[in-house]
Amino acid sequence: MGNVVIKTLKYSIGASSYDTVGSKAMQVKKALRDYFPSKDYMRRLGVCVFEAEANMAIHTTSGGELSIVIYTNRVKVVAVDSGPGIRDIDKALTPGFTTAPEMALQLGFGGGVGLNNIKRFADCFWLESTKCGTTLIFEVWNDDIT
Amino acid sequence: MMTLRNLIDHLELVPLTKNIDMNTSFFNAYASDLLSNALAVIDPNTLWITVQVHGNILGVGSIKQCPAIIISEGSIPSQEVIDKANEKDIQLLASQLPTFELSGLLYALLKEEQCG
Ligand SMILES: Nc1ncnc2c1ncn2[C@@H]1O[C@H](COP(=O)(O)OP(=O)(O)OP(=O)(O)O)[C@@H](O)[C@H]1O
Ligand SMILES: [Mg+2]
Repeated sequence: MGNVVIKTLKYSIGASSYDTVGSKAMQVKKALRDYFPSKDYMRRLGVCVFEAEANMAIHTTSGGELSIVIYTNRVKVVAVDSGPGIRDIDKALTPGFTTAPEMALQLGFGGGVGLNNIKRFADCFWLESTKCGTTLIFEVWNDDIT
Repeated sequence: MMTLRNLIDHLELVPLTKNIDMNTSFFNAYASDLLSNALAVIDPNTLWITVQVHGNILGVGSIKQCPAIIISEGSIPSQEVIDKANEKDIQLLASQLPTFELSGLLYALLKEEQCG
C-alpha cells in the first residue's frame, strides 16, 4: 500500500534564481494538501524542499531538476544538477561551512546549515557528488499513514 | 501566551500588512537573519525577527506557519513583497529598534507573561 505512487511533480530550478527560492516548496505544499493533511508533516517536508531548491539556485552552474514523488505514506525528493559538484561532502555537511557567493550571503543564505536541516527533518538522506554534478535524495515519511 | 495586540501596544510596532489579526497568539520568538536558521527554529508559536526584507522571507514564514514576522532596524520591504505577504496571509510588522533591543524588550515581556 505504502509503495503506491499517487503523483510525481517535476520542477526546473535555474542557476542564480535567488528570488524564486521557496516557490517550489509552496507549490508542493499546495499540491499535497489533499493527501497529507498533517501540518507538522508539511512543515518538515517544506523545510527540506526549500533547502534543496536553495542549493540548486545558489551553488550550481546551470541549475537542476527537482522531482517530488508522492506515495501514499511518504514523499521522496530527488534533486539532480550538472555541476560543479561538492568537492568534500564531509565538509559540506559540517554546520557553518559555506561557499555561497556574496550576493547570496546578503539575502541570508549561506549559513551553512541547509543540508543539516534536511538531514534533521527528513527520514532518509542520500548525497552523492562528482564534478559532473550532485544528486541529493531524501524521503519524508508521514508516520500517521502506514 | 502573548497576543499581537499586547505586542503592538508595548513595543510600538507598525503593521505593514492589512491582514493583522490582533488575537494571534504565540509564546516564543527567534531572531536571525539567516534563512536556514529561521527554517530550523520558527514554528506556529514562534515569531521571527529579522532585518531581511526580500520575498524569500515569505516562503520561510509560510512553510513554518510563523504567526508573524517582525522586521527590525527600520527596514521596510518593497510594496511588491507587502502585497505578496497579504496574498499569502503572512503578517508583517515593523520596528525601528535594532534587533538586539527589540529582542531584549520582547524577551522581558514574554518572561513577565510566563512568570506573572
Ligand atoms: N547542489 C550543490 N552543488 C554544489 N555544491 C553544493 C550543492 N549543495 C551544497 N553544496 C555545497 O555544500 C555547502 C553546504 O550546503 P548547505 O546547504 O548545508 O549550506 P549553504 O547552502 O552554504 O547555506 P544555507 O543552506 O545555510 O543557506 C555549500 O556551501 C556548497 O559548498
Ligand atoms: Mg543551502
